[in-house]
Amino acid sequence: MRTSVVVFPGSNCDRDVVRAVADTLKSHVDMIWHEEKDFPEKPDLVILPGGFSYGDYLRSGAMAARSPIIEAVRTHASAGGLLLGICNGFQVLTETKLLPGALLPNTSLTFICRKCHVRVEQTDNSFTAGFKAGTIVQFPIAHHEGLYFLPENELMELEKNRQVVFRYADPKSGESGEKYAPNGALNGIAGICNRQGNILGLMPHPERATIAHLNGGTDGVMFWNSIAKTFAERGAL
Amino acid sequence: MIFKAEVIITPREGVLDTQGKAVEKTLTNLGYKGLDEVRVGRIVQMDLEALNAESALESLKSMCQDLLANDLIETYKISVKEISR
Repeated sequence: MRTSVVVFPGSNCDRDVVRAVADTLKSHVDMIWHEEKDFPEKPDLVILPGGFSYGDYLRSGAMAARSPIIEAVRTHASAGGLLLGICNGFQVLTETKLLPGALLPNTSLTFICRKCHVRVEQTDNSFTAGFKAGTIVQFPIAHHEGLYFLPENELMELEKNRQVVFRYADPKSGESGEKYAPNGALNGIAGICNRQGNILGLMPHPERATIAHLNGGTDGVMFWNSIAKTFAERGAL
Repeated sequence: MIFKAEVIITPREGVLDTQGKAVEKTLTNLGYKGLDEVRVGRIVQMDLEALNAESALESLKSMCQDLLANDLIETYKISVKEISR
């Protein structure tokens, strides 16, 4: 199995992702500079990591979404390849329109960096198929623009199509929803996928909850293992 | 011809504008009355060479669609002023 992590100027979670994926998926990982026009070798999984690509100028993810490598990312995803965007990577995915919606500034207007809980809302996609639906995991968040927004009609459509994969949740009651969203995200949405289930974007950072001694917890391992299951079924692991 | 161009980008109606809300609240706290719907956007200015005003506007519209604005959450207004021939 081969993973490509795209590096933009200002990415700062790229090495965390490389380490997490190399450790858990036992994948060969290439780091690809955003100015490349193609992947040197065909990847099975492409990851757009977190950070502040282009200093968040104009809008978070806007400039990165127009990078030379993005055409190859689109080609990879349209052929059914797995594409994952974490935090700034999620913002890039909405800016490319590969995923619907936009990430607006948090209602608090502050940068929020803390542990938080999300519930796995559906498992009918390539990324969370290894979870039991309703599982609550703890992944840290660290962002200023994390309020997921989509106009009302399209939001209803997104919910109906079961594209909401992660929602902010209360670990005690097991409930999920808007009131548990630290950033004001509509419907408490923390992560969504496309209709085909091969593109996922999420604001929380599973890669920061992968290595025990980094104190972010280890729930991220469940996420990587779930992706591993998809590849094992495809015979790619 | 060279034009001085200005693009004003603001959050679309119905899109939560947290900055606008915060500014509105602070202005109200400062004692300003009767204000509503405060929106905070941004301005992009540039000097642009084009054959005429029409083609300058067309080019700027294309820039807005390609990069400057996100049509899901933002609207924009473009203006151009000729500064030399």
